[in-house]
Amino acid sequence: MKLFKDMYKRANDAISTDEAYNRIMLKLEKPPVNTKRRRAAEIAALAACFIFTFAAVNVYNRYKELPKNSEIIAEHTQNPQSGITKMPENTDTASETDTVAESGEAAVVPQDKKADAAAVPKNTTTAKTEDVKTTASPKAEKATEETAAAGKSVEEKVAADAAAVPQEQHKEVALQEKQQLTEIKLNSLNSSGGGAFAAALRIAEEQDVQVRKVTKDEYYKYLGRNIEQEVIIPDGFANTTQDMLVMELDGENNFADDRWSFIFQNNEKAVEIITTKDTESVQMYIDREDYLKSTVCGIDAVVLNDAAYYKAYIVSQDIGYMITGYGIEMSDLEKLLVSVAE
Amino acid sequence: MERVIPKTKEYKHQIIEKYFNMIYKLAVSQTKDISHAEDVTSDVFLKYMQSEKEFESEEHIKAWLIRVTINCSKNIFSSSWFKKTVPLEETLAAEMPEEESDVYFAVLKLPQKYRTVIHLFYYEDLSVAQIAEYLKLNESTVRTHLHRGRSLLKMSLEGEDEIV
Repeated sequence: MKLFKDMYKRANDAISTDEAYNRIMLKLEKPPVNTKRRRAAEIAALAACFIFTFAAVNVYNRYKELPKNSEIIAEHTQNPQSGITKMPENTDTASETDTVAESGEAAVVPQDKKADAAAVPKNTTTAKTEDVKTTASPKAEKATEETAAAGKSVEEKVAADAAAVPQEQHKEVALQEKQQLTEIKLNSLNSSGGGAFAAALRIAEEQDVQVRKVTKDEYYKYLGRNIEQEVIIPDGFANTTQDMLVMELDGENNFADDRWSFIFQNNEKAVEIITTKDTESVQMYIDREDYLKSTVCGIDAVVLNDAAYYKAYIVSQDIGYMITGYGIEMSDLEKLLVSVAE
Repeated sequence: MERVIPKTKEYKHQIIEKYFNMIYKLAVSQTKDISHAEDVTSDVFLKYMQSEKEFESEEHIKAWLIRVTINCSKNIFSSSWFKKTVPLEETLAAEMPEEESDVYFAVLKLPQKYRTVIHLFYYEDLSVAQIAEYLKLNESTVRTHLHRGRSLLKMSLEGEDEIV
């Protein structure tokens, strides 16, 4: 006579848990998200990090190439169009001392300084006015005040200072100048939306990497499909996808990495669709034996359901899709996948 | 004096380690699929890790984990286009002795409500009172489910060598 209880226990004990335990613990070590709100914040932070990284790298590279102090002063004194604008006379804080114009992109100037910036002769090829806040030394502050009172330009004063200050003070001024210029670059890249593109292009140029600015329309032509028009996104989601990307090219002028991330957001909810013509990279997920297969309009797909998001992999019309839905309903994901597959 | 249940990561990891086997086996019995069971187990523990719930005791945590496992198992089939890739019979055939597997799959064929109490009663050695408390059912309901489950099993295993 055998006891049902013993047999049922032995049967259960025979089910191996080791592999599952390891996989799950690994997953728990790096949970994808804590909450929906946190996920949305992460997306925003990621975008900010992207811009900041480019800015930081670019600033570092530029900083290395900065001319020596004497060269800076010489340039300022010899070339009236070098770009140092006149200090506004009504400046009342000691920290705001200088406004510099140089070649570049968008103008970011506080309202009360725009007139001053406009009065400065601009570079003939490109024009850029940037604002920078620096901490001036008491000497520099005093010099500025004196200059304003005497009706002299800051350039003249810098030149006069350069000639008058002893060697040690000269070094201090040089250090401040370098610091100012570094901060100018950082400010310009952080404050202008196009800064990241410019930075990416400059870095690519410096590192001898072929890149190209690609607009969404160009990408759609390349992809053969207009994602924003053809894919069904749940109601109320705003399209926050970038209109342009700087994409790296390979030796044959093709995209080295052709992934584009389309992002749609609705408060704490978000949908991200990453597309690529490198279908193998997506198929790899679909072929994984440990993932459940689903069929969408006759096409194999993999849908992973985690606590806070859905993740789906599907290849349709020679395009690979990696879709992540944060805080969306399963029915919404179904509609989205059907629209992708059709 | 009430014992304070810590919310530290270390403590939660200890709990996961302790109850992993229970939750995973329960998930397998609920979903009848190894992959689904893994997803459910992962979901349950992720929810536990992220939970800010104030647990009164370890027993309370255990009850919560069991309830969440059962709910997650139900949810995984909420979408019609989730489908099994490998039947459980094929996955487990190699791991279980034949006789045991007959018994095991007979339990899996039971309706979910009977299967749950049978599993908790016979594998987890929980009492009727505990099962009632964990599943938020009356004790009489649990007894009824056990009785009906046993009857169905008896019919299903008729002909097997005197399994009682």
